[in-house]
Amino acid sequence: MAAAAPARHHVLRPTDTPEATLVVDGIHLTSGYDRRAEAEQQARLIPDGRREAWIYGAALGDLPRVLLRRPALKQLHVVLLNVDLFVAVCSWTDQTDWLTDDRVVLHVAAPTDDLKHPFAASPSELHLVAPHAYAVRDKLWQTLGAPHARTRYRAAAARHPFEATLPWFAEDPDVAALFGSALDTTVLVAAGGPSLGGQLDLLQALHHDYPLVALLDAWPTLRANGLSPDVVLAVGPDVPTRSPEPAAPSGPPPALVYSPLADPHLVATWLGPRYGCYLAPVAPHQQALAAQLPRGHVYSTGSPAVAATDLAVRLGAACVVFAGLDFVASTRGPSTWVVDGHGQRLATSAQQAGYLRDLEAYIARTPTTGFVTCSCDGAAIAGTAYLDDLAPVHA
Amino acid sequence: MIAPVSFTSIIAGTARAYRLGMDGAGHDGLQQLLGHLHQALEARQLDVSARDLQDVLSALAQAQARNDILRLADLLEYRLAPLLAVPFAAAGTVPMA
Repeated sequence: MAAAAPARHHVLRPTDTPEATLVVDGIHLTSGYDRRAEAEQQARLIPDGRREAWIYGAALGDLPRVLLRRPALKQLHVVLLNVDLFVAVCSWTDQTDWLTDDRVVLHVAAPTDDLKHPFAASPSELHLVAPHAYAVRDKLWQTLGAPHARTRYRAAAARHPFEATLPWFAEDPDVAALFGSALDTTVLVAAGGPSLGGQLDLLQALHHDYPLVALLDAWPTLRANGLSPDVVLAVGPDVPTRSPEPAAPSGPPPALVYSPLADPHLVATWLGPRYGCYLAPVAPHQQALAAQLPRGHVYSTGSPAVAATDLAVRLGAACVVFAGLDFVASTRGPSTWVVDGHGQRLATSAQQAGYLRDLEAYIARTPTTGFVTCSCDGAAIAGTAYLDDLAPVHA
Repeated sequence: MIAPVSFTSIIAGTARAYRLGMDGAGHDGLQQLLGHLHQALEARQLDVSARDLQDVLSALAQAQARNDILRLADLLEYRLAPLLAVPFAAAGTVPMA
Protein backbone atom coordinates (compact mmCIF):
# COMPACT_ATOMS: atom_id res chain seq x y z
CA MET A 1 0.00 0.00 0.00
CA ALA A 2 1.41 3.38 -0.95
CA ALA A 3 2.16 5.78 1.87
CA ALA A 4 0.46 9.14 1.74
CA ALA A 5 2.48 11.79 -0.06
CA PRO A 6 3.58 14.55 2.32
CA ALA A 7 1.46 17.69 2.59
CA ARG A 8 2.91 20.76 0.92
CA HIS A 9 3.01 24.29 2.25
CA HIS A 10 1.71 26.79 -0.24
CA VAL A 11 3.23 30.16 -1.00
CA LEU A 12 0.56 32.77 -1.70
CA ARG A 13 0.92 36.31 -2.99
CA PRO A 14 -1.55 38.87 -4.37
CA THR A 15 -1.14 40.23 -7.87
CA ASP A 16 -0.98 43.80 -9.16
CA THR A 17 -3.02 42.89 -12.22
CA PRO A 18 -6.05 45.03 -13.23
CA GLU A 19 -8.20 42.81 -11.04
CA ALA A 20 -6.53 41.34 -7.98
CA THR A 21 -6.15 37.60 -7.64
CA LEU A 22 -3.92 35.26 -5.69
CA VAL A 23 -0.90 33.43 -7.00
CA VAL A 24 -0.32 30.10 -5.27
CA ASP A 25 3.00 28.35 -5.83
CA GLY A 26 3.40 30.36 -9.03
CA ILE A 27 -0.09 29.59 -10.33
CA HIS A 28 -2.80 32.27 -10.70
CA LEU A 29 -5.97 31.05 -9.01
CA THR A 30 -8.17 33.09 -11.34
CA SER A 31 -7.94 35.64 -14.10
CA GLY A 32 -6.17 38.82 -13.14
CA TYR A 33 -8.26 40.83 -15.60
CA ASP A 34 -11.92 39.80 -15.38
CA ARG A 35 -12.77 37.18 -12.78
CA ARG A 36 -16.52 37.47 -13.25
CA ALA A 37 -16.33 36.88 -16.99
CA GLU A 38 -14.09 33.89 -16.41
CA ALA A 39 -16.44 32.39 -13.83
CA GLU A 40 -19.44 32.95 -16.11
CA GLN A 41 -17.60 31.13 -18.89
CA GLN A 42 -16.93 28.20 -16.55
CA ALA A 43 -20.50 28.23 -15.25
CA ARG A 44 -21.84 27.73 -18.78
CA LEU A 45 -20.68 24.11 -18.51
CA ILE A 46 -23.65 23.66 -16.19
CA PRO A 47 -26.93 24.05 -18.10
CA ASP A 48 -29.40 26.65 -16.90
CA GLY A 49 -32.30 25.32 -14.93
CA ARG A 50 -30.43 22.54 -13.14
CA ARG A 51 -31.48 22.12 -9.53
CA GLU A 52 -28.21 20.53 -8.46
CA ALA A 53 -24.64 21.13 -9.63
CA TRP A 54 -21.07 20.28 -8.70
CA ILE A 55 -17.95 22.43 -8.58
CA TYR A 56 -14.47 20.95 -8.29
CA GLY A 57 -12.16 23.47 -6.61
CA ALA A 58 -13.46 26.67 -5.06
CA ALA A 59 -10.58 28.96 -6.11
CA LEU A 60 -11.56 32.47 -4.96
CA GLY A 61 -15.28 31.73 -4.88
CA ASP A 62 -16.17 33.41 -8.17
CA LEU A 63 -17.70 30.31 -9.73
CA PRO A 64 -19.94 29.45 -6.76
CA ARG A 65 -21.05 33.09 -6.59
CA VAL A 66 -22.06 33.08 -10.25
CA LEU A 67 -23.94 29.78 -9.96
CA LEU A 68 -25.73 30.77 -6.75
CA ARG A 69 -27.36 33.64 -8.65
CA ARG A 70 -29.44 31.05 -10.47
CA PRO A 71 -32.85 30.83 -8.80
CA ALA A 72 -33.41 27.29 -10.05
CA LEU A 73 -30.30 25.97 -8.31
CA LYS A 74 -31.31 24.27 -5.08
CA GLN A 75 -28.04 22.58 -4.13
CA LEU A 76 -24.45 23.40 -5.02
CA HIS A 77 -21.85 20.82 -4.09
CA VAL A 78 -18.34 22.24 -3.83
CA VAL A 79 -15.64 19.57 -3.84
CA LEU A 80 -12.36 20.72 -2.30
CA LEU A 81 -9.34 19.40 -4.14
CA ASN A 82 -6.87 20.75 -1.62
CA VAL A 83 -8.07 21.52 1.89
CA ASP A 84 -4.83 23.27 2.90
CA LEU A 85 -5.18 25.57 -0.07
CA PHE A 86 -8.83 26.28 0.72
CA VAL A 87 -7.93 27.20 4.32
CA ALA A 88 -5.12 29.44 3.09
CA VAL A 89 -7.44 31.20 0.62
CA CYS A 90 -10.03 31.72 3.36
CA SER A 91 -7.37 33.31 5.55
CA TRP A 92 -6.45 35.75 2.76
CA THR A 93 -9.90 36.53 1.41
CA ASP A 94 -13.49 36.69 2.66
CA GLN A 95 -15.45 33.73 1.35
CA THR A 96 -18.31 33.85 3.85
CA ASP A 97 -20.88 35.25 1.41
CA TRP A 98 -21.20 32.03 -0.57
CA LEU A 99 -20.09 29.65 2.19
CA THR A 100 -23.06 30.70 4.33
CA ASP A 101 -25.57 30.08 1.54
CA ASP A 102 -27.82 27.20 2.65
CA ARG A 103 -27.63 25.62 -0.78
CA VAL A 104 -23.87 25.02 -0.53
CA VAL A 105 -22.56 21.61 0.54
CA LEU A 106 -18.80 21.19 0.96
CA HIS A 107 -17.04 17.91 0.21
CA VAL A 108 -13.41 16.81 0.27
CA ALA A 109 -12.28 14.85 -2.78
CA ALA A 110 -11.44 11.22 -2.09
CA PRO A 111 -9.31 8.93 -4.28
CA THR A 112 -12.24 6.66 -5.12
CA ASP A 113 -14.73 9.41 -5.97
CA ASP A 114 -16.60 9.18 -9.24
CA LEU A 115 -17.35 12.46 -10.95
CA LYS A 116 -20.78 13.97 -10.41
CA HIS A 117 -22.60 15.77 -13.18
CA PRO A 118 -23.22 18.44 -14.21
CA PHE A 119 -19.98 20.02 -13.07
CA ALA A 120 -17.53 22.81 -13.66
CA ALA A 121 -13.99 22.97 -12.34
CA SER A 122 -11.46 25.53 -11.28
CA PRO A 123 -8.71 24.86 -13.82
CA SER A 124 -5.93 26.36 -11.73
CA GLU A 125 -6.76 24.06 -8.84
CA LEU A 126 -6.33 21.04 -11.09
CA HIS A 127 -2.63 21.94 -10.95
CA LEU A 128 -2.68 22.51 -7.20
CA VAL A 129 -4.50 19.40 -6.02
CA ALA A 130 -3.42 17.47 -2.96
CA PRO A 131 -2.36 13.86 -3.60
CA HIS A 132 -5.69 12.52 -2.30
CA ALA A 133 -7.38 14.25 -5.21
CA TYR A 134 -5.01 13.18 -8.01
CA ALA A 135 -7.43 10.52 -9.24
CA VAL A 136 -10.36 12.95 -9.25
CA ARG A 137 -8.23 15.51 -11.10
CA ASP A 138 -7.33 12.99 -13.76
CA LYS A 139 -10.99 12.04 -14.23
CA LEU A 140 -11.84 15.74 -14.56
CA TRP A 141 -9.15 16.22 -17.18
CA GLN A 142 -10.32 13.14 -19.04
CA THR A 143 -13.92 14.30 -19.07
CA LEU A 144 -13.18 17.90 -19.91
CA GLY A 145 -10.65 16.86 -22.53
CA ALA A 146 -12.75 14.11 -24.11
CA PRO A 147 -14.01 16.14 -27.11
CA HIS A 148 -10.48 17.23 -27.95
CA ALA A 149 -9.13 13.71 -27.46
CA ARG A 150 -11.73 12.41 -29.93
CA THR A 151 -10.67 15.07 -32.43
CA ARG A 152 -7.03 14.08 -32.02
CA TYR A 153 -7.88 10.40 -32.38
CA ARG A 154 -9.78 11.01 -35.60
CA ALA A 155 -6.89 13.08 -36.94
CA ALA A 156 -4.40 10.37 -36.01
CA ALA A 157 -6.62 7.70 -37.57
CA ALA A 158 -6.84 9.75 -40.75
CA ARG A 159 -3.04 9.88 -40.91
CA HIS A 160 -2.92 6.08 -40.56
CA PRO A 161 -5.72 4.85 -42.81
CA PHE A 162 -6.61 1.32 -41.88
CA GLU A 163 -6.93 0.32 -45.53
CA ALA A 164 -3.13 -0.07 -45.56
CA THR A 165 -3.28 -3.13 -43.28
CA LEU A 166 -6.30 -4.72 -44.99
CA PRO A 167 -4.39 -7.13 -47.27
CA TRP A 168 -3.07 -8.89 -44.14
CA PHE A 169 -5.99 -8.21 -41.85
CA ALA A 170 -8.40 -9.90 -44.26
CA GLU A 171 -6.27 -13.05 -44.40
CA ASP A 172 -4.93 -13.35 -40.84
CA PRO A 173 -6.81 -15.39 -38.22
CA ASP A 174 -9.05 -13.92 -35.59
CA VAL A 175 -7.56 -13.00 -32.20
CA ALA A 176 -10.50 -14.89 -30.71
CA ALA A 177 -8.53 -18.07 -31.52
CA LEU A 178 -6.21 -17.08 -28.65
CA PHE A 179 -8.94 -16.30 -26.15
CA GLY A 180 -8.95 -18.86 -23.36
CA SER A 181 -5.50 -20.19 -24.29
CA ALA A 182 -4.05 -19.30 -20.87
CA LEU A 183 -7.04 -20.26 -18.81
CA ASP A 184 -6.74 -19.76 -15.04
CA THR A 185 -3.03 -19.05 -15.10
CA THR A 186 -0.89 -15.97 -14.55
CA VAL A 187 -0.22 -13.79 -17.59
CA LEU A 188 2.65 -11.30 -17.63
CA VAL A 189 2.14 -7.92 -19.28
CA ALA A 190 5.24 -5.90 -20.14
CA ALA A 191 5.23 -2.21 -21.07
CA GLY A 192 8.19 -0.06 -22.03
CA GLY A 193 8.37 2.16 -18.95
CA PRO A 194 11.69 3.07 -17.29
CA SER A 195 11.34 0.38 -14.61
CA LEU A 196 11.26 -2.41 -17.20
CA GLY A 197 15.06 -2.53 -17.32
CA GLY A 198 15.24 -3.42 -13.64
CA GLN A 199 12.66 -6.17 -13.95
CA LEU A 200 14.11 -8.18 -16.80
CA ASP A 201 15.66 -10.93 -14.66
CA LEU A 202 12.42 -11.32 -12.73
CA LEU A 203 10.44 -11.31 -15.93
CA GLN A 204 12.76 -13.92 -17.41
CA ALA A 205 12.26 -16.17 -14.39
CA LEU A 206 8.48 -15.76 -14.40
CA HIS A 207 8.32 -16.27 -18.14
CA HIS A 208 9.54 -19.85 -17.71
CA ASP A 209 6.14 -20.61 -16.25
CA TYR A 210 3.80 -17.95 -17.52
CA PRO A 211 2.94 -16.45 -20.89
CA LEU A 212 4.13 -12.94 -21.64
CA VAL A 213 2.16 -10.26 -23.50
CA ALA A 214 4.27 -7.27 -24.54
CA LEU A 215 3.18 -3.86 -25.62
CA LEU A 216 4.98 -2.75 -28.74
CA ASP A 217 7.05 -0.20 -26.81
CA ALA A 218 8.47 -2.97 -24.59
CA TRP A 219 9.41 -5.25 -27.46
CA PRO A 220 12.81 -3.68 -28.34
CA THR A 221 14.01 -3.87 -24.71
CA LEU A 222 12.77 -7.43 -24.28
CA ARG A 223 14.31 -8.53 -27.52
CA ALA A 224 17.65 -6.88 -26.74
CA ASN A 225 17.74 -8.82 -23.49
CA GLY A 226 16.90 -12.22 -24.90
CA LEU A 227 13.26 -12.26 -23.85
CA SER A 228 10.78 -13.49 -26.39
CA PRO A 229 7.17 -12.67 -25.56
CA ASP A 230 4.37 -14.97 -26.58
CA VAL A 231 2.35 -12.08 -27.93
CA VAL A 232 3.20 -8.54 -29.01
CA LEU A 233 0.28 -6.15 -29.16
CA ALA A 234 0.14 -3.32 -31.71
CA VAL A 235 -3.12 -1.49 -31.29
CA GLY A 236 -3.21 1.78 -33.10
CA PRO A 237 -1.78 4.99 -34.44
CA ASP A 238 -0.60 6.20 -31.04
CA VAL A 239 1.91 3.39 -30.57
CA PRO A 240 5.57 4.27 -31.09
CA THR A 241 6.43 4.39 -34.76
CA ARG A 242 9.77 2.64 -34.33
CA SER A 243 9.31 -0.90 -35.54
CA PRO A 244 11.63 -3.42 -33.91
CA GLU A 245 13.22 -6.09 -36.02
CA PRO A 246 10.74 -8.92 -36.07
CA ALA A 247 13.13 -11.78 -35.32
CA ALA A 248 13.33 -12.82 -31.67
CA PRO A 249 16.75 -13.81 -30.29
CA SER A 250 15.68 -17.29 -29.29
CA GLY A 251 12.63 -19.47 -29.45
CA PRO A 252 9.79 -19.11 -31.89
CA PRO A 253 8.91 -15.60 -33.03
CA PRO A 254 6.09 -14.08 -30.99
CA ALA A 255 2.60 -13.71 -32.29
CA LEU A 256 1.46 -10.26 -33.29
CA VAL A 257 -2.02 -9.18 -32.25
CA TYR A 258 -2.89 -6.07 -34.20
CA SER A 259 -5.78 -3.78 -34.99
CA PRO A 260 -6.41 -2.39 -38.47
CA LEU A 261 -4.76 0.86 -37.37
CA ALA A 262 -1.40 -0.79 -36.67
CA ASP A 263 1.68 0.17 -38.65
CA PRO A 264 1.34 -1.71 -41.99
CA HIS A 265 5.11 -2.09 -42.29
CA LEU A 266 5.23 -3.82 -38.92
CA VAL A 267 2.42 -6.15 -39.94
CA ALA A 268 3.89 -6.92 -43.34
CA THR A 269 7.34 -7.79 -41.98
CA TRP A 270 6.26 -9.73 -38.92
CA LEU A 271 7.80 -13.21 -38.98
CA GLY A 272 5.58 -14.84 -36.39
CA PRO A 273 1.88 -15.62 -36.60
CA ARG A 274 -0.50 -12.68 -36.77
CA TYR A 275 -3.99 -12.27 -35.36
CA GLY A 276 -6.39 -9.48 -36.17
CA CYS A 277 -8.54 -7.71 -33.60
CA TYR A 278 -10.69 -4.64 -33.20
CA LEU A 279 -10.44 -2.25 -30.32
CA ALA A 280 -13.74 -2.05 -28.51
CA PRO A 281 -15.80 0.01 -28.63
CA VAL A 282 -15.26 -0.12 -32.38
CA ALA A 283 -14.68 3.36 -33.82
CA PRO A 284 -17.47 4.57 -36.13
CA HIS A 285 -15.18 4.66 -39.16
CA GLN A 286 -14.33 0.97 -38.63
CA GLN A 287 -17.83 -0.37 -38.07
CA ALA A 288 -18.48 -1.22 -41.71
CA LEU A 289 -15.20 -3.09 -41.83
CA ALA A 290 -16.02 -4.91 -38.59
CA ALA A 291 -19.30 -6.09 -40.13
CA GLN A 292 -17.51 -7.26 -43.25
CA LEU A 293 -14.49 -8.84 -41.52
CA PRO A 294 -15.58 -9.74 -38.00
CA ARG A 295 -12.75 -10.27 -35.49
CA GLY A 296 -12.52 -10.56 -31.73
CA HIS A 297 -12.55 -7.39 -29.69
CA VAL A 298 -9.98 -6.11 -27.23
CA TYR A 299 -11.29 -3.38 -24.97
CA SER A 300 -9.44 -0.10 -25.00
CA THR A 301 -10.15 3.43 -23.93
CA GLY A 302 -7.35 4.62 -26.18
CA SER A 303 -4.83 3.38 -23.64
CA PRO A 304 -2.48 0.64 -24.88
CA ALA A 305 -2.08 -0.53 -21.28
CA VAL A 306 -5.79 -1.21 -20.97
CA ALA A 307 -5.79 -3.07 -24.29
CA ALA A 308 -2.88 -5.30 -23.21
CA THR A 309 -4.53 -5.97 -19.86
CA ASP A 310 -7.83 -6.85 -21.48
CA LEU A 311 -6.05 -9.17 -23.90
CA ALA A 312 -4.43 -10.94 -20.94
CA VAL A 313 -7.82 -11.30 -19.28
CA ARG A 314 -9.36 -12.64 -22.49
CA LEU A 315 -6.51 -15.15 -22.76
CA GLY A 316 -7.95 -16.46 -19.50
CA ALA A 317 -5.67 -14.96 -16.87
CA ALA A 318 -6.60 -15.50 -13.26
CA CYS A 319 -3.80 -13.08 -12.39
CA VAL A 320 -2.11 -10.37 -14.47
CA VAL A 321 1.41 -9.29 -13.50
CA PHE A 322 2.55 -5.89 -14.80
CA ALA A 323 6.19 -5.07 -15.54
CA GLY A 324 7.39 -1.70 -16.82
CA LEU A 325 3.89 -0.25 -16.64
CA ASP A 326 4.96 3.05 -15.09
CA PHE A 327 2.72 5.70 -16.69
CA VAL A 328 5.59 8.12 -17.09
CA ALA A 329 7.87 9.28 -19.88
CA SER A 330 5.25 10.71 -22.16
CA THR A 331 6.63 13.77 -23.87
CA ARG A 332 3.37 15.25 -25.12
CA GLY A 333 0.94 17.51 -23.37
CA PRO A 334 0.85 19.36 -20.07
CA SER A 335 2.86 17.94 -17.20
CA THR A 336 1.34 16.80 -13.96
CA TRP A 337 1.88 14.51 -10.98
CA VAL A 338 0.77 11.10 -9.86
CA VAL A 339 1.87 9.14 -6.79
CA ASP A 340 4.41 6.34 -7.19
CA GLY A 341 4.57 3.08 -5.25
CA HIS A 342 6.80 4.70 -2.63
CA GLY A 343 4.18 7.36 -1.93
CA GLN A 344 6.21 10.08 -3.62
CA ARG A 345 5.09 12.48 -6.33
CA LEU A 346 5.96 11.25 -9.81
CA ALA A 347 6.06 13.59 -12.81
CA THR A 348 4.08 12.48 -15.84
CA SER A 349 1.80 13.86 -18.51
CA ALA A 350 -1.93 14.42 -18.32
CA GLN A 351 -2.35 11.76 -21.02
CA GLN A 352 -0.42 9.14 -19.05
CA ALA A 353 -2.31 10.04 -15.88
CA GLY A 354 -5.52 9.52 -17.82
CA TYR A 355 -4.30 6.13 -19.03
CA LEU A 356 -3.55 5.22 -15.41
CA ARG A 357 -7.11 6.08 -14.37
CA ASP A 358 -8.49 4.11 -17.31
CA LEU A 359 -6.59 1.04 -16.14
CA GLU A 360 -7.72 1.52 -12.55
CA ALA A 361 -11.32 1.72 -13.72
CA TYR A 362 -10.83 -1.44 -15.78
CA ILE A 363 -9.33 -3.27 -12.79
CA ALA A 364 -12.24 -2.18 -10.60
CA ARG A 365 -14.64 -3.63 -13.17
CA THR A 366 -12.76 -6.96 -13.30
CA PRO A 367 -12.97 -8.34 -9.76
CA THR A 368 -12.48 -12.00 -10.72
CA THR A 369 -8.91 -11.36 -11.89
CA GLY A 370 -5.98 -10.50 -9.63
CA PHE A 371 -3.59 -7.72 -10.64
CA VAL A 372 0.01 -7.44 -9.48
CA THR A 373 2.69 -4.81 -10.10
CA CYS A 374 6.41 -5.64 -10.12
CA SER A 375 7.89 -2.25 -9.27
CA CYS A 376 7.17 0.57 -6.83
CA ASP A 377 9.08 2.99 -9.05
CA GLY A 378 6.21 3.59 -11.44
CA ALA A 379 2.80 5.09 -10.74
CA ALA A 380 0.83 3.37 -7.99
CA ILE A 381 -2.06 1.54 -9.67
CA ALA A 382 -5.17 1.26 -7.50
CA GLY A 383 -6.45 -2.30 -7.30
CA THR A 384 -3.04 -3.94 -7.71
CA ALA A 385 -0.81 -5.65 -5.16
CA TYR A 386 2.97 -5.50 -5.23
CA LEU A 387 4.81 -8.63 -6.25
CA ASP A 388 7.08 -8.47 -3.21
CA ASP A 389 4.01 -8.98 -1.05
CA LEU A 390 2.85 -12.01 -3.04
CA ALA A 391 5.47 -14.76 -2.77
CA PRO A 392 3.08 -17.45 -4.11
CA VAL A 393 3.23 -15.82 -7.53
CA HIS A 394 6.86 -16.96 -7.76
CA ALA A 395 5.95 -20.53 -6.91
CA MET B 1 -2.26 28.39 -50.32
CA ILE B 2 -3.24 31.49 -48.41
CA ALA B 3 -6.33 31.01 -46.32
CA PRO B 4 -7.96 33.45 -43.94
CA VAL B 5 -6.99 32.63 -40.40
CA SER B 6 -8.10 34.76 -37.54
CA PHE B 7 -5.56 35.14 -34.79
CA THR B 8 -8.45 36.43 -32.75
CA SER B 9 -10.44 33.24 -33.07
CA ILE B 10 -7.45 31.00 -32.30
CA ILE B 11 -6.58 33.11 -29.28
CA ALA B 12 -10.18 33.13 -28.08
CA GLY B 13 -10.50 29.35 -28.50
CA THR B 14 -7.20 28.69 -26.78
CA ALA B 15 -7.91 31.00 -23.86
CA ARG B 16 -11.38 29.51 -23.47
CA ALA B 17 -9.93 25.98 -23.39
CA TYR B 18 -7.48 26.97 -20.65
CA ARG B 19 -10.21 28.71 -18.64
CA LEU B 20 -12.37 25.58 -18.74
CA GLY B 21 -9.63 23.15 -17.71
CA MET B 22 -9.24 21.70 -21.20
CA ASP B 23 -5.48 21.86 -21.04
CA GLY B 24 -4.83 19.52 -23.96
CA ALA B 25 -6.92 21.63 -26.29
CA GLY B 26 -5.28 24.77 -24.90
CA HIS B 27 -1.83 23.31 -25.38
CA ASP B 28 -2.55 22.35 -28.99
CA GLY B 29 -4.18 25.74 -29.66
CA LEU B 30 -1.12 27.51 -28.32
CA GLN B 31 1.19 25.47 -30.53
CA GLN B 32 -1.01 26.23 -33.53
CA LEU B 33 -1.03 29.92 -32.67
CA LEU B 34 2.75 30.06 -32.29
CA GLY B 35 3.13 28.28 -35.60
CA HIS B 36 0.92 30.81 -37.37
CA LEU B 37 2.73 33.66 -35.67
CA HIS B 38 6.05 32.31 -36.83
CA GLN B 39 4.79 32.05 -40.40
CA ALA B 40 3.30 35.53 -40.32
CA LEU B 41 6.53 36.99 -39.00
CA GLU B 42 8.59 35.22 -41.63
CA ALA B 43 6.23 36.49 -44.32
CA ARG B 44 6.49 39.99 -42.83
CA GLN B 45 2.73 40.14 -42.48
CA LEU B 46 2.83 41.48 -38.95
CA ASP B 47 3.47 45.11 -38.19
CA VAL B 48 4.06 44.79 -34.50
CA SER B 49 6.73 45.93 -32.08
CA ALA B 50 9.28 43.14 -31.83
CA ARG B 51 9.98 44.08 -28.24
CA ASP B 52 6.31 43.99 -27.23
CA LEU B 53 5.82 40.66 -28.95
CA GLN B 54 8.95 39.27 -27.37
CA ASP B 55 7.75 40.34 -23.93
CA VAL B 56 4.43 38.56 -24.35
CA LEU B 57 5.97 35.43 -25.84
CA SER B 58 8.49 35.26 -23.04
CA ALA B 59 5.74 35.63 -20.44
CA LEU B 60 3.74 32.92 -22.20
CA ALA B 61 6.69 30.55 -22.11
CA GLN B 62 7.24 31.20 -18.40
CA ALA B 63 3.56 30.68 -17.58
CA GLN B 64 3.45 27.48 -19.60
CA ALA B 65 6.56 26.16 -17.86
CA ARG B 66 4.90 26.46 -14.44
CA ASN B 67 1.45 25.26 -15.61
CA ASP B 68 0.02 28.69 -14.82
CA ILE B 69 -2.84 28.20 -17.22
CA LEU B 70 -5.10 31.09 -16.26
CA ARG B 71 -2.14 33.43 -16.59
CA LEU B 72 -1.65 31.91 -20.04
CA ALA B 73 -5.28 32.65 -20.84
CA ASP B 74 -4.91 36.23 -19.57
CA LEU B 75 -1.73 36.81 -21.56
CA LEU B 76 -3.39 35.53 -24.71
CA GLU B 77 -6.63 37.41 -24.29
CA TYR B 78 -5.51 40.69 -22.75
CA ARG B 79 -1.91 41.11 -23.95
CA LEU B 80 -1.39 39.21 -27.20
CA ALA B 81 -4.81 39.74 -28.80
CA PRO B 82 -4.67 43.55 -28.59
CA LEU B 83 -1.13 43.45 -29.89
CA LEU B 84 -2.15 41.49 -32.96
CA ALA B 85 -5.54 43.08 -33.54
CA VAL B 86 -4.42 46.11 -35.58
CA PRO B 87 -1.78 44.49 -37.76
CA PHE B 88 -4.04 41.54 -38.32
CA ALA B 89 -6.87 43.78 -39.44
CA ALA B 90 -4.41 45.36 -41.88
CA ALA B 91 -2.98 42.11 -43.16
CA GLY B 92 -6.20 40.13 -43.14
CA THR B 93 -4.65 36.76 -43.72
CA VAL B 94 -1.77 34.62 -42.61
CA PRO B 95 -0.48 31.63 -44.54
CA MET B 96 -1.80 28.24 -43.57
CA ALA B 97 0.51 25.32 -43.04
